[in-house]
Amino acid sequence: MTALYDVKNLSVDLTLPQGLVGMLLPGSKPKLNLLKAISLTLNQSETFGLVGESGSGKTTLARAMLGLLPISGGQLAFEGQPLTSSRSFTPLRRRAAMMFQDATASLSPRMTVGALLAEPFHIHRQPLPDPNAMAASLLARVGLPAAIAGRFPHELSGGQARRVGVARALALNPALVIADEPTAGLDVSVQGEVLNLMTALKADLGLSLMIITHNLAMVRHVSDRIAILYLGRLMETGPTRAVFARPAHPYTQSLIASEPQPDPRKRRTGPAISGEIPSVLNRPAGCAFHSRCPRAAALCRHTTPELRDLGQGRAAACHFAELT
Amino acid sequence: MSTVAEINPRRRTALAALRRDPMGLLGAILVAGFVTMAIFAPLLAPYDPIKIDVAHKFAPADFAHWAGTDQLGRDILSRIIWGARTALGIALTATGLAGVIGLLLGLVAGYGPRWLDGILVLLFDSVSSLPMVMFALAVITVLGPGTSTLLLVIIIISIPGYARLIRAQTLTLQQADFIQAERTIGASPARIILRHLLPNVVGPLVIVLSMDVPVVIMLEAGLSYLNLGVRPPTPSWGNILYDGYTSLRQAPGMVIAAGLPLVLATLGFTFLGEGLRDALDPKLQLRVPK
Amino acid sequence: MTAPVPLLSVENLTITYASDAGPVQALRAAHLTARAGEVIGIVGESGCGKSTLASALINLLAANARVTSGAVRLRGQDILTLPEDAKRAIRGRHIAMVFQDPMTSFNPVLPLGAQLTDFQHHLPQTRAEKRTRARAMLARVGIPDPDLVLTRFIHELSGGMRQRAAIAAALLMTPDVLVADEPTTALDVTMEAQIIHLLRALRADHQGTILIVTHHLGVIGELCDRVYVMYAGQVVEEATVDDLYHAPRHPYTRALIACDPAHLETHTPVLPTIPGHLPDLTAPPPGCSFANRCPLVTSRCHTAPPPWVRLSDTQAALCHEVAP
Repeated sequence: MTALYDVKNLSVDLTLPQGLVGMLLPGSKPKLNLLKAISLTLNQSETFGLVGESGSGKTTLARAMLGLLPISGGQLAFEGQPLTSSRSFTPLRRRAAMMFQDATASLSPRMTVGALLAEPFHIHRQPLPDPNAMAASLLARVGLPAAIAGRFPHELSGGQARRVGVARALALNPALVIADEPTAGLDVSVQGEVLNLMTALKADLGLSLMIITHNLAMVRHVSDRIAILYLGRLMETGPTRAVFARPAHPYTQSLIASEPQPDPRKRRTGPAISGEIPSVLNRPAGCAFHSRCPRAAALCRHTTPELRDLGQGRAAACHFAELT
Repeated sequence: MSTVAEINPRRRTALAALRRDPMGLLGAILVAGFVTMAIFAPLLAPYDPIKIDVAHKFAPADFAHWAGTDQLGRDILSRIIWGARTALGIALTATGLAGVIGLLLGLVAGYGPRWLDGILVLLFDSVSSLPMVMFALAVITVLGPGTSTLLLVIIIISIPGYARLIRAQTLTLQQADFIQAERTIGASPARIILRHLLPNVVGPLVIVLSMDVPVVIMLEAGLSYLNLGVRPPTPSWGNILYDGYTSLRQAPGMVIAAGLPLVLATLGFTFLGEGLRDALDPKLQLRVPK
Repeated sequence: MTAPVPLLSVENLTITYASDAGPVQALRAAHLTARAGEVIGIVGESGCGKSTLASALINLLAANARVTSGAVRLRGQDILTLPEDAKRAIRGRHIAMVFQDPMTSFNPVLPLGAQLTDFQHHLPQTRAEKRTRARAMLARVGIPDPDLVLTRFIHELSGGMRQRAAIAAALLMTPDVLVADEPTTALDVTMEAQIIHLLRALRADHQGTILIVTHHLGVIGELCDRVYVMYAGQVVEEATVDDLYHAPRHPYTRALIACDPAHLETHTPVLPTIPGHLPDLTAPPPGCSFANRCPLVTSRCHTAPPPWVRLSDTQAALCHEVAP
């Protein structure tokens, strides 16, 4: 397997807004550190799960990978080509697609589905001899009737909009599809349909899939490898089955132990984790997780643990990862 | 409850939607009436609007002069019909040009780089902070009174309002998922502005513009009253109203005859604007009652 | 011997919504009973009528809703036919609700202390006593610094704290029935676990009944004693939580549990789904609503309405194909 997308030591800062005077004055501007020292690799034809709670920076990471946000440190490379300038993202735009959490809102409201499906061809100056036939075949691929092409986004149901999002992502035969919460707001009986569709297309077209989610129960079944983010830091990464079988980071352990169990015989006795996620404005010193960690020691309060290789493709950012 | 797909809405054209909205339809009829009046003024007006006939001054309304005559014996109905041409010509040109320029500046300010936005907002605020009448008087003093000066003044003072409206909407939409989605597939800023932002911000501008048309008609009348706008003897509703006020004792009907078209034009453009807004928004079409 | 009057019962409740396409039958002959001390789960997917049922319980139906038949009885008295002021007296005092979005329960421009005091307007105590009571309740729901929170506005609290405050507000009125509509859906998984734990702890000192309305089988499994499963406006199965998970009888219940990724023990890349769609509720089918998606379907399912088959003291299902 070769690397499709390589993220090395990525940091993203948000410059806090100031007035016109502040913009013109030289000197350092107040910054909010959204992501720090993120390193991960997406392989060809794999499904990668990016897991985190709200405020963990998972969507920020996806946007930075697609060049929608300026990065403040680190290197990105797609198919071996470094992404250094905004111009260098052009090939990526054609080869990578994003599916947004709110599928309906991600479709331009005054364009028909047919026009939306034709757009990627126009933008990248790809030949499109018969837009109607192309729209029909893309829609057929995601299990929708061709008549949908005449509809506007607000006339679609949640599941249909999601499928149109998939169809649009597939328009230019991408190598990578990034899906932000692809099942949010869908019923369990429908979320399986969307995920199975994506998995089947991934196998047929040989593309890589990055699924951003907070839904652990779902991601454990559909992903090959996962990464867990907390407050903009990478906590753990590794093959999904190994991570779920034996989570190395205490945060991963608490996440898995927090999932409500549908089987009443497996009821939790108490909450696996106490306290609230701190705000990014008020990130704890040392390990970002130490304020809620059951295993926090004095070391954790002042020294940030590095992401350490644990072998077998696994890594965790915990001073005590080996002890588990 | 059934899913959205099962409701299967019927899509309607803007015109059909307007037909289902009685107020919008009334507005459209009124506006169409005034536009017809303006275009076919030479055919519709029974008399020459500037022909003086002192012998018949202040004639009451009768079959010869449906709205009577003024202090110089000119036929008031003919002057009103020709006045529609003056009023609509100035109002539509001014709001149209100001709307287009405001739209483009607002889109650029809202979607363009931060520094450009800063400069444009500073410019809008500077123009808005000028006292309107003082500014108009200053421009007229420099350029001399007349229709083109009037147009220039109205356009300059209207642009900041339209641009700010568009900028505010663009700033909100800029963060919308569908704009982010367009960026991920590599759409250029020009494409995003023209194909995705413009159609979504133009609706509110249309209603504001159509509501501003009567304001401009009033402004034209006001400046014409001060002898700073349309020069007599060219008929303008403002002139007729002014003439009516000065001869209120002799011919009280003249004020009504000149005021009525102003009121009807205001209502017409306002109703039409609201109807158009609903018709232009595909999401609102669903709520149009059957 | 006569059975004791249950604390809350819903009998044969049918509710329609006026719509452009004709009346939508959102609830069809729904029924449930709840005794004091029980935690009842109402589970189903979107469009099943669970939210309509919750709104009917708290007497807050939408303006276009019409109750065409049935009754909601609190200690035997039908609360739907009461005059408006009597309904208002019941709302809050006897039946209180916790919403998915706790922001909707509070006035954004008043500090929490003032609101929590006002909520107790029917009590005889002084304002100072009411404030002390509010403080004690905030501490009871696990808010670490209740004195500080009393002076805060709702938007100044984090998501988890807001939901705790909303639960405290509902409990201040010592209601007989607490209806919680998707109480954890808007929360992250670690917060969800804490709220579930809180609700479980509260039932110990709550004398009435708690109704949990949710689409999430995990929440049902962790919290409830008995469960009603809803589909297309009807109650299709009633069971204890253990029977529901380990011995579901209605084909829809079985399919729903099978779809839940949390139910799958082994790695399952292709997730189970329920093929087909909900029937059009403006014209529900004459037979079983689930017939077009059911694996056990026979010809009579399409023509005759299914019977409510009592399977045991605690379990019953709306199905032709279940046998006692």
